[in-house]
Amino acid sequence: MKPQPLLLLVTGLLLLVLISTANADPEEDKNTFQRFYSERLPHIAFKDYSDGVYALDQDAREQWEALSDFPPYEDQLAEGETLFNTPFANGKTYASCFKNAGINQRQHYPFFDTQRNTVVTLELAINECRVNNHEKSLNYKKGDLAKISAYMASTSTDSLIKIISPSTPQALAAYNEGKQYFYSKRGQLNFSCANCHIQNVARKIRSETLSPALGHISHFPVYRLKWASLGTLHRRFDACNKQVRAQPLKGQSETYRNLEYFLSYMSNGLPINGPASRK
Amino acid sequence: MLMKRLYLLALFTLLTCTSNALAASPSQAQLAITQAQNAQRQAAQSGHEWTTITPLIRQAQHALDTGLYDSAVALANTSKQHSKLALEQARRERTNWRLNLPK
Repeated sequence: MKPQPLLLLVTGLLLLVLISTANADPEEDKNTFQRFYSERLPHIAFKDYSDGVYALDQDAREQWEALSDFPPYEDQLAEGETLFNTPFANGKTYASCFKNAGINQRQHYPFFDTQRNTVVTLELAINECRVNNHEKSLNYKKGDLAKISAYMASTSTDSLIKIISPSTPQALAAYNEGKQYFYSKRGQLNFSCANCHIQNVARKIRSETLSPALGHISHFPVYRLKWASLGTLHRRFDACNKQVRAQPLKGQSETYRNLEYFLSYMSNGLPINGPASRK
Repeated sequence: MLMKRLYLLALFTLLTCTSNALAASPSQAQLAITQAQNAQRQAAQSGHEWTTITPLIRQAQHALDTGLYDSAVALANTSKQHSKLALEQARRERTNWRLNLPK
């Protein structure tokens, strides 16, 4: 059977569209990403995406706001502040490792370090600060690191997320790896992050509403009632992976950092409002 | 009467031999587990490992340790099958991830 010229042309054009969309630059990606939500959920104001699922579900929002009168993470946040200000054995503090002494810096993380050619997240920077000051590394997913990160996030409340666009081929490669991870199906259930948080956003999965990926990173670390403690974004990535039966990765693995880089860039312009509580 | 007993004995012997021939040996169970472990490593390298794979190998190892060789082989083969499917998923997603981009 001879191939139909029209069919070949249409297939070729479709492939071209797909490839050009896949290789769009980060700014184009961000615009498409944010436009998708504004079209799908036109009643949600842009800044409200920082509230995650509570921007979508009024009943859940009312319960969440009532809970926020006495936030369950309050004590751990206070511990985080104490830890942040407690000097290391050499007399220095975390403040010595960050710009502006670590205050109001959350919105600039993660960034791509062009000297080391790697993505640096806030949690990675906190642990590197410890190691550089001859202290032991902390658990990347919960515990004291999450508390310190929560305190630092709290000093950035209402500052707008400002992730620098990838400026080198290595930075772009890291961004693209994070992007591919986000859109790839994985696990025995064969789900991608996008399947839930883009294609099925605002729909129900059993009794839960699926939250938008836009704004996902603005409120971390979060206090999940399920965890009964603060946890970092990478701990939440683990939970999502386990739900689709995909093997979780190590905290601060290169793949998770690249994913955070991509997701954070997509949320550029949203206010930081972490730490926050979630179910 | 004697013939009837002989028939029964022959049938019993045949059944015993057949079931012994079909039962897995410890070395077969160990081989299946080794193959499942190799497949798991490949799935992990692809970045698409499933959470089901390692627990199945662990269960297979436990079955081997407790002398349940048939179960050990079955569990190891299931694990290997999951690894193969995970690798196939990784292969497909090298291009198909683009289909999930927002339009």
